[in-house]
Amino acid sequence: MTGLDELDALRGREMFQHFDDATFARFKEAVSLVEHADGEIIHSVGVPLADGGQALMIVLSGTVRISTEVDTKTQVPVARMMKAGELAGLVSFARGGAPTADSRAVGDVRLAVLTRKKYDELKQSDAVLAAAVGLTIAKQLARDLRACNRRLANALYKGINRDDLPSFVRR
Amino acid sequence: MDEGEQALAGLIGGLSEREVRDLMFLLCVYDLKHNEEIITEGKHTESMFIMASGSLSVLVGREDKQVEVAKVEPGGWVGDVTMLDPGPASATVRVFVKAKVYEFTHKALLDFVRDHPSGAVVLLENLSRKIAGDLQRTSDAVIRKDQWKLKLTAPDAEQDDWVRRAMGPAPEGREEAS
Repeated sequence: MTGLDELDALRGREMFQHFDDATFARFKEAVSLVEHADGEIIHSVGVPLADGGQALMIVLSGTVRISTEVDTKTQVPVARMMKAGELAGLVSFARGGAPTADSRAVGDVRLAVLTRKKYDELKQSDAVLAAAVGLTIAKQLARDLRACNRRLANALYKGINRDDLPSFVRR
Repeated sequence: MDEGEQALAGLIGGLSEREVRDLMFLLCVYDLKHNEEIITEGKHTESMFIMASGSLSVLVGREDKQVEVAKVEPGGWVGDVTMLDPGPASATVRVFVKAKVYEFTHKALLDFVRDHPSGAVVLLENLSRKIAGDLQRTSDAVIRKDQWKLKLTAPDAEQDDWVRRAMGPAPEGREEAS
């Protein structure tokens, strides 16, 4: 499957269903295809992107491991494996600033990337497309927040069963 | 700026007068009495409510064990997540002090995106910025909570796998790697 085929396949995904055909065609022109080899670091937390801006990443093929490690001693990793059709880079794209998580290619990865600079241009030149992208971003952020709230509620109210803890955990 | 526009200030910053007027036209306004329930935990919801006056309580848990987790005051809003991504509500919202609220439905959002794409970009950016902030704070809280519970050594593959399982299922619409 080529990058363009993979890009076309996004059209069938729920997050892109509000795009009409013409808008989706312009979306395909607005993004750039980027490839990363297995193990390659895509973004590092706190390290600004090369152009100083932000970028929305859409996984077209392969898997991207997103993780945040909060302390060099305790290193509690929060990892999420993202596959085709999923979006990354949303928090820094929406709020500005450097990436808030590390991302690394697991296997060979192909991404569609929309830079903040390009998105800002679209707001002036193609508001219909910018609004469609904006709706995708807002909807995915909402979905991620709902999932994160659920995790926090589980952590706060249910706790973790002591017997489930693996041997490497020290208390 | 009238009462409704003041209530929506955090949402409509950057919109033109015409866009604000047309957006207001898409919203429904309600005067609510003490203890009226506008969102019920677990029930399908596709609206957000923006406060003009009064106060709302946000509660989680079953009716006999409900815990108040937040109060919403004028200018604040609830339900932004389900307005953007309709689904089951994660909390119950009840009127604490009689309130005037504006209801913004998912359908109204889609109508606004269709009719005012430039304004919709601004509105969606305002919403996304707020949700991204909430997401970052919640994510930090999840990490702190786990950090408090567990003292992990440097992570390896086994730990990664366990943490993924401990953190629960992937968000809806996302798949975990096998």
